[in-house]
Amino acid sequence: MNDLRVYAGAFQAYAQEHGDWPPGGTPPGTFPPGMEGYLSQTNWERITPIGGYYQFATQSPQGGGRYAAVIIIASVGANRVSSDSIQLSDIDRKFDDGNLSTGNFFLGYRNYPVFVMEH
Amino acid sequence: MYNVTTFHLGPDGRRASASSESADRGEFNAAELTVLLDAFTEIDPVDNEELDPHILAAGRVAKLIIRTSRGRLQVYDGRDHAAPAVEMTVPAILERLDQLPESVSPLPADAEAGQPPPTAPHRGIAFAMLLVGLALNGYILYSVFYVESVNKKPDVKLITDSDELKTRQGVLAGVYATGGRVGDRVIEVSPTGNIRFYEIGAKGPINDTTDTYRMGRHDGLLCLSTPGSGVVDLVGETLVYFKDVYQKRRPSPKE
Repeated sequence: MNDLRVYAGAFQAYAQEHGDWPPGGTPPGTFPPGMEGYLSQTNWERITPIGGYYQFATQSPQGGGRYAAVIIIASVGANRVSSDSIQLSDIDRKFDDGNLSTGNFFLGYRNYPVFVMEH
Repeated sequence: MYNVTTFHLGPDGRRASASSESADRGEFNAAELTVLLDAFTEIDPVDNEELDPHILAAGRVAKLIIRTSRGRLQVYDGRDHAAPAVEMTVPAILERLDQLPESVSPLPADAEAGQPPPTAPHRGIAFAMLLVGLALNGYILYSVFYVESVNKKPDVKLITDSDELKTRQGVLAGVYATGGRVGDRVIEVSPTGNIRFYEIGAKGPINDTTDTYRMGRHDGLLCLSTPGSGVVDLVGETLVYFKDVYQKRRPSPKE
């Protein structure tokens, strides 16, 4: 799951250079437009280690709040993201505060993991 | 009457005798044979071990070879040398000599009556251990394969009254959204029990899924329970889905 840190770094690099986040609105597993040169397309489009696909989203409503820029790990069809609370909590402990309801890593829409880059 | 032959046994039956290899003692009645057998059990154990004295007694039905060990009588079938020895009392031996073996019990009647009924304690222990083993295996398998899911569905009590259902579905039907920008989400509820979820994408709806719903209640809230998309709560005029609030935009979606 170190991918998330790498991807977040790439998006932040883009934001620093362009003064804003790249446009959202792409489906999970689809390479975000404008991220060429910042992000490996092959890595982004592959299935994540916990199932599902990565999705970059802006102004995303999640868990009752709205976030300016997030990376979501979302299920697509039969490719489901893990719902194992032990596994997800373990990731949260490594990334964040260990609580799947709070912090920068939490469960949002449909309990998909959300990594917040900007609130 | 019983025909008796002794082997390596002295005349009184109490001592082993190396010189008396075999002696035909002729016919004994029950009392005489009882005396001989009682005396035989008192034989010196060392001589008994060394000389192997024994008695061959033939009755009306059976022919028995009788040896002694530690004051007890071990009886072999004289016609079936492969049969194992059976420990018998003197009265049982006399009975065995005159009756078919099926009717003979090697133990005295009173001793048999005093015994508890045959039990199988080892089987009981084995069965209990088997159950414990199965329970342990089951627990290990459960521990290995059990996954505590984050998707816990609340206990929904479905509305079954058709009039209430019709009224509520009619009022509920509509398009609900978190907003109107890219990234916002939309829920379309039809009055016929279908529900659609999607996100406003840059080029149209994304993460677009459909499901069916049934109306119900949980924790005092009206809700839409779906088979694959969880539970959508109704709070006033809004829907709440995974804590996000969806405001009603239009009364009814296009079917």
